[in-house]
Amino acid sequence: MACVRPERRGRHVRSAPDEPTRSPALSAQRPNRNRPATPPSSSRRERREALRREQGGRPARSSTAKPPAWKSPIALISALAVVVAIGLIVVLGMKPGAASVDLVAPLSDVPVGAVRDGRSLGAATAPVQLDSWEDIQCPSCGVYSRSVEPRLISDFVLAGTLKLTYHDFSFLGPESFDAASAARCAGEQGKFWEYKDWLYANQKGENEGRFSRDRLEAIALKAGLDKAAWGACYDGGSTRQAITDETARGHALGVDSTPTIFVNGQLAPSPSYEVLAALIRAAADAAGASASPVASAAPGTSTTP
Amino acid sequence: MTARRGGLLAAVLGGAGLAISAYLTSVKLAGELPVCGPLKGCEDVALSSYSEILGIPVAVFGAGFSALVLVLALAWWRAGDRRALLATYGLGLFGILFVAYLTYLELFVIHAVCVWCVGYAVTVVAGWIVAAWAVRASGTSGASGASGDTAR
Repeated sequence: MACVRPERRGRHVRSAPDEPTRSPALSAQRPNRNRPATPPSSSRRERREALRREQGGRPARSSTAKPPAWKSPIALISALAVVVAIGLIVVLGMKPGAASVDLVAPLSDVPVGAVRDGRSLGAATAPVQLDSWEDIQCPSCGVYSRSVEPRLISDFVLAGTLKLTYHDFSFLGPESFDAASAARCAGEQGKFWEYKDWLYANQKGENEGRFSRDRLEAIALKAGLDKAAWGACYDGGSTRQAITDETARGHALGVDSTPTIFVNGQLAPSPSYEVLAALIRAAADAAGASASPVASAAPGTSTTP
Repeated sequence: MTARRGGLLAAVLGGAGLAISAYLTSVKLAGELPVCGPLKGCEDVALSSYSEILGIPVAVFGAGFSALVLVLALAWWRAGDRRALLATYGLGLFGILFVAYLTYLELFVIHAVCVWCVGYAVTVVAGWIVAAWAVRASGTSGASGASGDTAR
């Protein structure tokens, strides 16, 4: 069957002028809703024109044309929200890197069982005394503090064999003094060793803002200090003369670099664990005490909040 | 639930977001750290440089955002104002993108998760979902939302 154009389809059921008209019964059964009202005697052309006029004048199905979807309020609002959000994110992402206060936590905590006495750690009756002279900005001191000291604490301090004492030898610049002062102020709240560990965990460079007041204060919060009390101590500057004096004492003892370590008054040739452990055992043996290393403290046992 | 009553739910979510951000704002301005409980991530996030924008705590912007969502959602719920509904929808979409960015910073830059921030993000996302559903429901029903509840 051939395809028929829609406007011509109706013709097949309409009565042509030359065709016999349909019977009234048949017409009644099939209402001619789509047939134009044209006189049966009109020519084909006239009927076509009438049909065109009718179709041209026929109102559209909906009175108002639908706007395209992209013009809908929802689409416009969505687009606006996305553009503003992305623009804001891009602008914020491009801001110059301000001094970040992102802090790194110390790898290990100060063991709970270690006896504290200000800037000393260990029993007062320990036969071996280890004195370390350090500058907080010194990278080698950082290595000693992060890698060697925890082992000394777990192997000898907890066994009662060793007592550690920290001494300031601040000579690398103003931030060395700032960090040392901040640590002493933490010591007034019994948190010197935790605070010192936080300092060494976050040291980088010298006098580059790594130990700015903001960062030192942030570390105070991380170490669980009373911020107001710490701030009063730090800003008051009461600890700075003590740092200067202690540094001068270090000079007098022959300290000229950091870390410098003395074991029972004997200068250690190296801050490595092996050298220090040997010196500690020898000193303990000389003092007649057992210097066998004990198992390290269980992970997580610390006084750090 | 009808589309207009969704406004009540969105308002509740906005209120929850406002409470969270108000707490974080007060803590930040006091120079303290938010309570983290066993999770320490919120401290790291609070102390990071990303906790402020132009020197203003991010929580302040969050509080303003949530307050605005709360007001618009209430307007939509009580008055059936479709403009308020559309504004809630638009703000929610903006909010989702921004909290997604902040969450990215937490996970991949700061490497910490702040439970308060996660809670706030949940209120933003949930609020937008409610608004989007209400927009769709009120739009397909043909009602503007002002003439009454739209049966679901």
